[in-house]
Amino acid sequence: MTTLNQTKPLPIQNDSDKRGSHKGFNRTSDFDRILSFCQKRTTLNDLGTLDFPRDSPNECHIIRTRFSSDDHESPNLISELIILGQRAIQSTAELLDPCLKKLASEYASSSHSRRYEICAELYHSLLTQSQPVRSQKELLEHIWDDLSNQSCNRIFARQFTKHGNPNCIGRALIILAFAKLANATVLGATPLIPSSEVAIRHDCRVARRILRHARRHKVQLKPELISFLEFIVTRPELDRVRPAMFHMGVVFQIGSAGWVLIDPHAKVFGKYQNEALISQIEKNSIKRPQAIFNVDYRAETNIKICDQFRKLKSLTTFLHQIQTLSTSNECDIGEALHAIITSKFLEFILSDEWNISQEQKEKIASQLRGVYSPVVDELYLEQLLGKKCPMSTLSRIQALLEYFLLLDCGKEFVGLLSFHVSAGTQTLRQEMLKLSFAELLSELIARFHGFMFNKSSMGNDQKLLHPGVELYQPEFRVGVELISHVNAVTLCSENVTQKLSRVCNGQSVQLSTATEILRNQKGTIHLSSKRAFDKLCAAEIQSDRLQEILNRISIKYHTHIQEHEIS
Amino acid sequence: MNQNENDFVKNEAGHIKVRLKKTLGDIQGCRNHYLLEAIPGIMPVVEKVINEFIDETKNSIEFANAQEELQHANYDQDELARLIRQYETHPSMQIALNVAFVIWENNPGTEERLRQIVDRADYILPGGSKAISSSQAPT
Repeated sequence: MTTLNQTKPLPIQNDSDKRGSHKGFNRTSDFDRILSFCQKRTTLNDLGTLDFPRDSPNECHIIRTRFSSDDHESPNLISELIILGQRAIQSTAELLDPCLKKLASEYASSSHSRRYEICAELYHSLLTQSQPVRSQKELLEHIWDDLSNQSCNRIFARQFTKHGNPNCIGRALIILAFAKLANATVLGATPLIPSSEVAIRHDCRVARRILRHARRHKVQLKPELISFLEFIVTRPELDRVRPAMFHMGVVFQIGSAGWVLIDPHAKVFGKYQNEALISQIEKNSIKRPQAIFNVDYRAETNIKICDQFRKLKSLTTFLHQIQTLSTSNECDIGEALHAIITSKFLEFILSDEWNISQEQKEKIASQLRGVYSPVVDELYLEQLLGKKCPMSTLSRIQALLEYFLLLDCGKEFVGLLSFHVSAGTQTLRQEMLKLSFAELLSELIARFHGFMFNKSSMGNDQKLLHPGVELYQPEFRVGVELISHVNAVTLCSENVTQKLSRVCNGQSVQLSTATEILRNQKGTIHLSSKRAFDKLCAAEIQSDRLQEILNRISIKYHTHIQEHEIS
Repeated sequence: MNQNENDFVKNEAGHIKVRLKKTLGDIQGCRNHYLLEAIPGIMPVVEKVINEFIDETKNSIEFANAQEELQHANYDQDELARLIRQYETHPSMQIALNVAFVIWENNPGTEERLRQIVDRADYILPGGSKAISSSQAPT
């Protein structure tokens, strides 16, 4: 076990007296202790192997002079957090995987398109693997694991090799270290609205439509599909109450005006359309390394969502065609089979992940595509279809019947088709065949509802980018978040969160301070907490999770005001 | 495993058991203590002793009573503290209460897990949230 129970503070040795360089700063001891802890874990064993600025006695002064004249807020603290961020990136670069170091050296001399490919390789090498969820219980366990399994081993590079599994900050540090070695320009990117929120909401709407469609057309869906879709419908409510933890990705400049978002812990990779905006922010941020810039990409995301809904519409049209076929009294089996093979059925067969092996599906699909020599067994159907079809169509129908054979109710249908009967029993056979075909179509229609969800959902689309992001120079925010993370899993000191919220306007930092109103048992409300709460309420971009927690703070705040007015 | 290692494990297992009894079944506290002690190879021994301790407590007469009491108290943390005080003169019952609470905490129902998650939103939170993807719908 590598994790610690974060609900109970762990002791951190108070060794601030050993750090002579910090004597001049007037800090709370909790902050000092955490800073010292972080500094120790970002110390390199072998200084001098990398060509980065070092932590020298003059460094605080040098960084301070970079701030514009209107920065009056704790310049010493800001500069020290920047240095901590630099040290973390530096130590991560030192310990970077040799393959990534090699890739970084290739990056500098590569073309624009090759750089994009390298970014994709970097993304895939850092992609967080996790089991997908199918039920509420599974989802809650994943959320709980994410909340409670955040030891310090996941943010300091020295621990990655021993304990593995860096979290989003750890992975961002690896990308930032890669960028340093590749001499690439980058900005930190923290979602104000995560892409997952948009995807979950979209999937909920799709699932609700599918369930409604099935009810309206009296389609008997399989129980496992119903419970899955019902879970997807309730998922936005569960996602809304998920605690709003800090998250970090990186935007990587691959050309003069080309930027790529790399966020392996959120499974997001790709390019925003408005890249000029990022270039402008990058320019503005150089003189203000502690500044946070909010960017609204909701319009771009909405276009993607609309495209997915269009896909759902075209699939629904096809579904209606099959439904018409199944309810038609005059249904000719040969024509019906022909209608199916010329529809989107091939796509469905290939995507169907339910019980049928990929190899079988590939064989069937290739024959349906019109491969000359049949790759599935012949079913001798010429006589039964009245020899009206050309051989190529017949071959495709055979492939389709092969697929039907794999379905339980399909066996009866194919059996009836292949069974030779006398002229006297032909009418009876036709009736049985129609009945069996109708059953088969019902089965396919029910299955097609699951297929529609898989084709129209956004839950696994890694190119759906965060619709709202904070962009910033990474060093300062890394410093802030390392302190914040260590505080959360060790001392849980309110002094530390308040100190950080005075110098960092990042939403997660302000939220940590604002939630003090909920934690406070003394019946008083600190001015800094109230200020942070007001700032968050005034934010133009608010995620569902943020709105949820602001509602809770608001209720407590107004109850507090009323009680004081009464007393 | 050589003789020295055997002696070490036996000796430490005894210490861990005593610690668990003295702290009236503070399992997480015991884990944290040995984690920070950082003695090489100790954690598997700790986990083994904890499991034995839980099994032993589950077989005790007090355990069923403790579960019943906690159910009445809706597994509330403050109520647990009150019950522990109430059974001040009965250490076996105090141990049973703590162990029953830990077992329940590690295997909560869906509603309870949801409540734990919502409560956690009030805390000072660490960074590091990940995206949790959905599986494909069954077709």
